[in-house]
Amino acid sequence: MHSLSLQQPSRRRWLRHAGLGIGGLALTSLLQAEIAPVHGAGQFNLRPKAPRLPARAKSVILLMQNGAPSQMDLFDPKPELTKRDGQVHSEKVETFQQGSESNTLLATPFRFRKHGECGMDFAEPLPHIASLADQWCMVRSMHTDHNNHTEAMVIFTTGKFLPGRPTLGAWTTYALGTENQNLPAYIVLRDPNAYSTNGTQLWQNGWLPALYGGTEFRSTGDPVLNLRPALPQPAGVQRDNLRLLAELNRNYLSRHPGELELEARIINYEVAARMQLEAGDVLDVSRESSSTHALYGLDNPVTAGYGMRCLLARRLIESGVRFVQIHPPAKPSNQPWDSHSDSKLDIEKIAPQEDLPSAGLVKDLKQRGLLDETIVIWGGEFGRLPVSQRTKGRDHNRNAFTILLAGGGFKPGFTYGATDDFGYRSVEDRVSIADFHATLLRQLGLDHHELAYQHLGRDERLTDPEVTGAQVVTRLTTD
Amino acid sequence: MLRFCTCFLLLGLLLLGAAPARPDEPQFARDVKPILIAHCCKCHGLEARQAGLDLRTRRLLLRGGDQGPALDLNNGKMSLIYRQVVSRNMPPDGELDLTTAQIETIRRWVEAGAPPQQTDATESGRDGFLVSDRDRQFWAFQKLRRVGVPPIDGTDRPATSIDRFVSAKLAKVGLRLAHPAAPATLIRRAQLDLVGLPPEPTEIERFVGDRSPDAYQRLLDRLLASPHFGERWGRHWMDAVGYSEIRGTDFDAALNRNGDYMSGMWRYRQYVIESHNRDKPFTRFITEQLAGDELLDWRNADPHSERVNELLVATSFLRMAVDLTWDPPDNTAFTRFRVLHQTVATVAGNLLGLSLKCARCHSHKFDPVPQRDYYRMLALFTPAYNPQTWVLPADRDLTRGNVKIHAVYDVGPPPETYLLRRGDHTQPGRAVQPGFLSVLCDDEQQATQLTLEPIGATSGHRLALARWLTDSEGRAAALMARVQVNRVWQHLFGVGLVSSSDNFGHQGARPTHPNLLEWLATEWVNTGWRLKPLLRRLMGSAVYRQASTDAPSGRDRHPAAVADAPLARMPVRRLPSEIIRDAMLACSGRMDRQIGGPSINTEAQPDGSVRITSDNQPTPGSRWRRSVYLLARRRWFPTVLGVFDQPNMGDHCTRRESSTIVLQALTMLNDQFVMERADDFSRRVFHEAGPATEDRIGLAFAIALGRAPSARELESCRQLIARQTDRFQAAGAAHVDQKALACLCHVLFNTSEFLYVE
Repeated sequence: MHSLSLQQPSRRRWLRHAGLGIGGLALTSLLQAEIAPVHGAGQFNLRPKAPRLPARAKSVILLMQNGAPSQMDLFDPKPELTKRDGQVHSEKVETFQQGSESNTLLATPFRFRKHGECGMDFAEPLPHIASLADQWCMVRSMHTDHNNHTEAMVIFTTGKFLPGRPTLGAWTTYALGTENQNLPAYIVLRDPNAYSTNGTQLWQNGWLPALYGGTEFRSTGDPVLNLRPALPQPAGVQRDNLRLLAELNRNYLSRHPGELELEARIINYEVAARMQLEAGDVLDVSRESSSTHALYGLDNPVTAGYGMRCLLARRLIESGVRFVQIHPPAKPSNQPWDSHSDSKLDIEKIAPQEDLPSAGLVKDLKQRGLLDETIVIWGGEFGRLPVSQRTKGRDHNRNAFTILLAGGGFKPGFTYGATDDFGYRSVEDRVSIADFHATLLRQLGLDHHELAYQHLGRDERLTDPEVTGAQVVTRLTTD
Repeated sequence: MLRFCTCFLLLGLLLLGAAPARPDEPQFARDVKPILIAHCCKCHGLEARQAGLDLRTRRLLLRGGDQGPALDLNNGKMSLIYRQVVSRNMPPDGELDLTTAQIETIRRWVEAGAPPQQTDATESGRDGFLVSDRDRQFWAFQKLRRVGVPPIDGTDRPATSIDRFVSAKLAKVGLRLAHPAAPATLIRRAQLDLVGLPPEPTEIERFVGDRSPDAYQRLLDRLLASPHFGERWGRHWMDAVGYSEIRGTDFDAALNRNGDYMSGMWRYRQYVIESHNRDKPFTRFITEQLAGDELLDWRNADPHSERVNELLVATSFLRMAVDLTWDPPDNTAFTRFRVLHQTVATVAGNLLGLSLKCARCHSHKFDPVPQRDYYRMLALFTPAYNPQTWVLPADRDLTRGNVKIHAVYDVGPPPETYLLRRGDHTQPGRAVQPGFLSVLCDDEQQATQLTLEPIGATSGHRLALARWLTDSEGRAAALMARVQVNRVWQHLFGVGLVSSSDNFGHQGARPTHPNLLEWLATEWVNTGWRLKPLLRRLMGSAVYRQASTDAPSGRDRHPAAVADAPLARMPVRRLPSEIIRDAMLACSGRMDRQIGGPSINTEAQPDGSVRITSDNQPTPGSRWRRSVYLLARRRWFPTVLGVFDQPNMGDHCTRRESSTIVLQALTMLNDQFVMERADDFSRRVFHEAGPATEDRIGLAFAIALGRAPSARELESCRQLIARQTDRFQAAGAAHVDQKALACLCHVLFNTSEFLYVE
């Protein structure tokens, strides 16, 4: 037990304990954070905080697309690539997997078409997403530092490739707290059958206090396990049990005064009792209309899993949750957009599971007037190569990829940046992950230079601008 | 050899194109960079790159901008920066003007050859710096030294040496140890710490009634001799090695038993438990694990020899890294190197308390570990894990007799190993020889001098590593002894004498009691590196035997005051996840105490929980076995374990978290396992106690908490049982008395007193 009697009350630990007072006690911190009485002003808490700069968005929905969606097969048409299909590329490309290098150009198996009034390009596999062309802000000039999924996912979510730093969601809740004190600030919804590649790393608090870490919610039934007794009990049984428990726990605490953990444990039971009453219906979608169910594809087994997570994301955002992070279906794999052997087959396995619900979410947010203040991010950790792996598939490409943004002051119907003639390298208006993070923070009213946390004597920042040279990409946003 | 190294140093410096910085000369990061950041980088830096120029790092100066490099190492005085600054051309007139002293600093720096910061991390791929004797003077890297025990403090209590160290420090702030813990408290503490099971009421009674002076010593002897000792302390070691029976990352809830599961890995767990029970000297223990295959010619040995096979099983120690290569698309150079990197990280983290991860890509920023040293260590493992001629995990497995062993052994002659620039396997730098961390050797020569004793077709590299680590006179052994002794302290007292038990480097904490740590480490080494005598010594101290309830005398109980007085009482510690489940099983009377054997199956359920059902088990009662025998997945732990900080075994873990989250309360209140065990517990009490309610309450308290209820508690419990009896009666339930008693049992499981050891 790390009680304060044992060690220097490290700032971090102390403040973690001091995070929430009994008065303002909230379900928020309930799952992740440790709760203890306030012994001094808590610097770290989840109360809503106004950003210093004017904010264009209040909340974020990250639709994480693990595995690296292929830009030249989905978003970034390359006629030159199609024309020179089968020829050896003049530029030697950087590959990831060994033994399958060919440097032979591979045309996309899909047809592209222009969509919306803005004429944004989309290939066939994502018709519903394409139908919202006038809502999306498409960034085609993304690039990142690492060519392997694991590291690149860590970069996408934390800014650097070595695990252990706080994620985007953690930084956001650290900076802004959350509107609804009865729900966690940062909620993660994943496929119940598996973690995506990297697992819980992708929503960790890193060295930020634990209350800023993501909380996993289940997407069916109760939001967390064991919210109700597994075996039936007559009404009132638990209430009396809890009363005796509180008495015994207080006795124990009185024999060990000052042990914050023991105090926290008493409060935990009070919170647990409240949660059992209040948190049950957060995920109850039965009162949503049938047209809403259809909008998210809940009526179709192919889309129902991902669709439910998208619908829950809207409900949670609507309830004032700050950051919702959705992970993709676990079929065909933990990184379902990975596609080394056959672009067409692989994309056709994953795209139909996600296309309709992703579009449904944006439409629904728009209808309800929530899109203006919510940033929706649809993207993966890097892109794919214009050359084949002696197959019909493509290897990893950290030099170029495309992401989609919607809402939150991002320019709708706008395509930004460009890759070379083959989609290998971002060449025009390049956007690094750090630039992307800086821009997201800016939309939330935060200056990425200012948002800092002292760790091991250094002021750490999400973007680490001194090293990365991160800059806000103002041309992506309105105003 | 020494000369060779010196040459190399010079060569390295030539490559850097700069002379080494002398202390009196301006250094880039310390002296020059702050000037550039404050005066130049507004226009030539992060926000703006006028003239294409960014002056934030030395490397960027060398790269330059539209007019070419800003810094020319061959002709410093012609460098752009020199000319512009010395001529006062830049910065342009205004508020950013440089002072004469600042200009002088830049001038002197350029004229000295613009030396980089000695540990400039941007110079990755090169040594950057070498290890000096001064680096070896850091407390943790020194050889063990004999320290004297402080004099007896004059109090009337008998004091062991440990007590004298601790009391001496407490006395400085006017404190002393708390009074001794009550016998009932002490037996619960000792039993949970040594075997991980709460004492039975009869055991408590016997101990409390035993007034002989050696009663406690005999208790420790009995517990240390128990076969359950290895289950408790073996689990600590399993954490430290990252024990898992899964090859890959274990992201999927459903387990792929064909490719991803190591069906014989439980034999390693068995090996660990037995080694602890036999109190194998630690030096022998790790030598077997690092190089059991190199201790004899196993290829030509009888495949049924238990002794040979035990040594091969021990090497499973090196099979814990995530190895994705069993799945063909993931069999890439990258994932192969990942196995090597994780193996080095685990060996260094577990045995030496050092995080070497930084040195994968560049020389360590804080600790004197050049990148070269990291790859020297890595080269010790490349004969077994050769990334060029990779052997698939299943093909490494041996079947000897009918025993499946997930062993590690050299798969061929040692390959050339290269330093990887930026840790990137596609950017091999120069070749490195296998060797050790220079800072833990007396000199450079020792760092690459391997004591090779090849037996059979093997390089002997790993055996040489084991010899280096276990040379009791050496620096490595000294650090290893400190790290291990500290971890034992941490397991008993919640926090180590070095609180950062996983980091003994410059970024880690300093010991709160340096001399005590040094003394313990020395004693441990001198008495044969055995755990049981060390535990007997630690647990025999008044520090361990003191109460946890005393307020430190003479001090306010404000937490900040308590923090100043560590060890002025026994800390209260939450039980680890496995012990919480085991304690519930023990109370319920259901526990199957069988020792050893294959793992107990766990199943991830569609609702997201993970359960232990009676399906697919060695025997139907297997699901009541101790938690150490559960299928060891990297994640997907049975829910009761998961919420109580069961560590994720994607990595190894030398210090468990002890969180206080609401999910723990919800689980203890509502989880099926907990509710069913409470029910079993009440049946047991119902049958073992007399019919009077107070007898039942008394027995329930004795079993769960190891004590009798106070009069007030007794009354409250009686009221609860009465109320719940009425309630069940009103609901028309059967067995109302037992059900009402089950409510009390359930409450007891939920108490802090049950979940903590004081």
